[in-house]
Amino acid sequence: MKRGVLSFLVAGVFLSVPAGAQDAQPGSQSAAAAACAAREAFEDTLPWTFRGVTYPNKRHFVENFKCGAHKYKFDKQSDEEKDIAAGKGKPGGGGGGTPQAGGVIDVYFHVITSSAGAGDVSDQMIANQISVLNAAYSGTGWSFALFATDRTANDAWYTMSPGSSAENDAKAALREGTADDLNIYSAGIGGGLLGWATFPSSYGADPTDDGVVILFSSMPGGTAAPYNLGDTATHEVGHWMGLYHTFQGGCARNATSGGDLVADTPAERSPAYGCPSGRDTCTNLSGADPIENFMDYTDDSCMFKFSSGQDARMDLQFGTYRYQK
Amino acid sequence: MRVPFVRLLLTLALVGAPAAVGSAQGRLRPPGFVTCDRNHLTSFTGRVVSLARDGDTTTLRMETDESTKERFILRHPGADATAWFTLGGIPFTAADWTALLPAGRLRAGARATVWVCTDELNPRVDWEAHEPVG
Repeated sequence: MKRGVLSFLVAGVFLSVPAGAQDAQPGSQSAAAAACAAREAFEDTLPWTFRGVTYPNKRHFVENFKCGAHKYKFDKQSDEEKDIAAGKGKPGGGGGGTPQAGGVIDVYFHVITSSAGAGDVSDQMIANQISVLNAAYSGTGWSFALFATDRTANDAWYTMSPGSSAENDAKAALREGTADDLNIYSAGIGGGLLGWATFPSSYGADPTDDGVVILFSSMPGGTAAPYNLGDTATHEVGHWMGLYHTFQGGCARNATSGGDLVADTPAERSPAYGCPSGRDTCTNLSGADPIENFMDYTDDSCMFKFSSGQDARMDLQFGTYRYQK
Repeated sequence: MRVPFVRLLLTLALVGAPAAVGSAQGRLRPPGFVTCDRNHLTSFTGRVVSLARDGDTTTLRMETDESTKERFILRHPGADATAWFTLGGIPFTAADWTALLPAGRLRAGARATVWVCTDELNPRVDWEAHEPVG
């Protein structure tokens, strides 16, 4: 998608800017900039469709390419700062690349409904879901911006399950962007699943599969209580950013890392549900179970945090497998 | 909470080291047939590597998606384990047994989620339906 968009924008620049504009004097640049701003101000008021995808407005689509801004607003770090960030990464953790300390991730939101319309969610619910994500990740340096929404009615895709042909078909048809773009698919998934997600390290082998699938009714205001505050997406995006479940590996642990490869999430024998008080399932290891962590299975109302180690792992995983990939 | 979990640990044994993690992970919610307090609930999902009946008990061994190896023992005096099994959330039938154990051996690749209420005797085994066991 990025290459296609860039090609489109290059063509657009040549169509809308006089030849030789790149060598023009400051006055000409100023006039061109004014025209650009005026055009964008108008386009900003209109929904805009490109290659079958409807975007909130054209400004949202082009601002990161056409008028000089960067699509990704990742924090600019000096090499020294990057080294410091790498140093705080979890032992055994990320993947050996350069950490990205945060940034704005564009979200392509794909609403999949049945042919009868089951599973439809409103634009407001999608906006609320993005807000829940941003609140959950507010301490990590990462944030999420809705880039585009599309809606598809397909009975097979609506009930897709992990690894199914329906999932493959849906993602092949709908996925947009590159490794650092987040694709969220909402559908009426079955099998008792609230959602699933791919890992950053999986992108290279199967980029089309990359993304997050959530049960539509788990979105804020949905009917899947006590899982309807939007934290299924928080949890699944955690996987997409490189996090394992807090109960990964059970009580297996060494001196520097838990089974989830994050040292500051106490080991946990198996997932917690509800919001149990004082649960401690690895009694030979320090720390009560991290039931409040987004990567456990507790109720949405019970989970509210990522650890600093998880934050560091996300930075390293994103830098290694997603950033500009 | 710690006391019931000790009982769970008597039933379940961590018998091996972590294995490889798959390419995706997800989030589960308890199915309707699990009626205990969610605060007393846990689950294990993965590939079932063996299923063996010995009189009034059935032993199931699993390699979980979280890279642990688990053993579950179901006690079913005077019956088989049918009452504790479901297939995609639907009660197990005789035909499901045939599909699960063709030629008397566990079908390769069988997957399940085992739901464990820490204050109940037996776990419940929900075999995955979308990856047919038969």
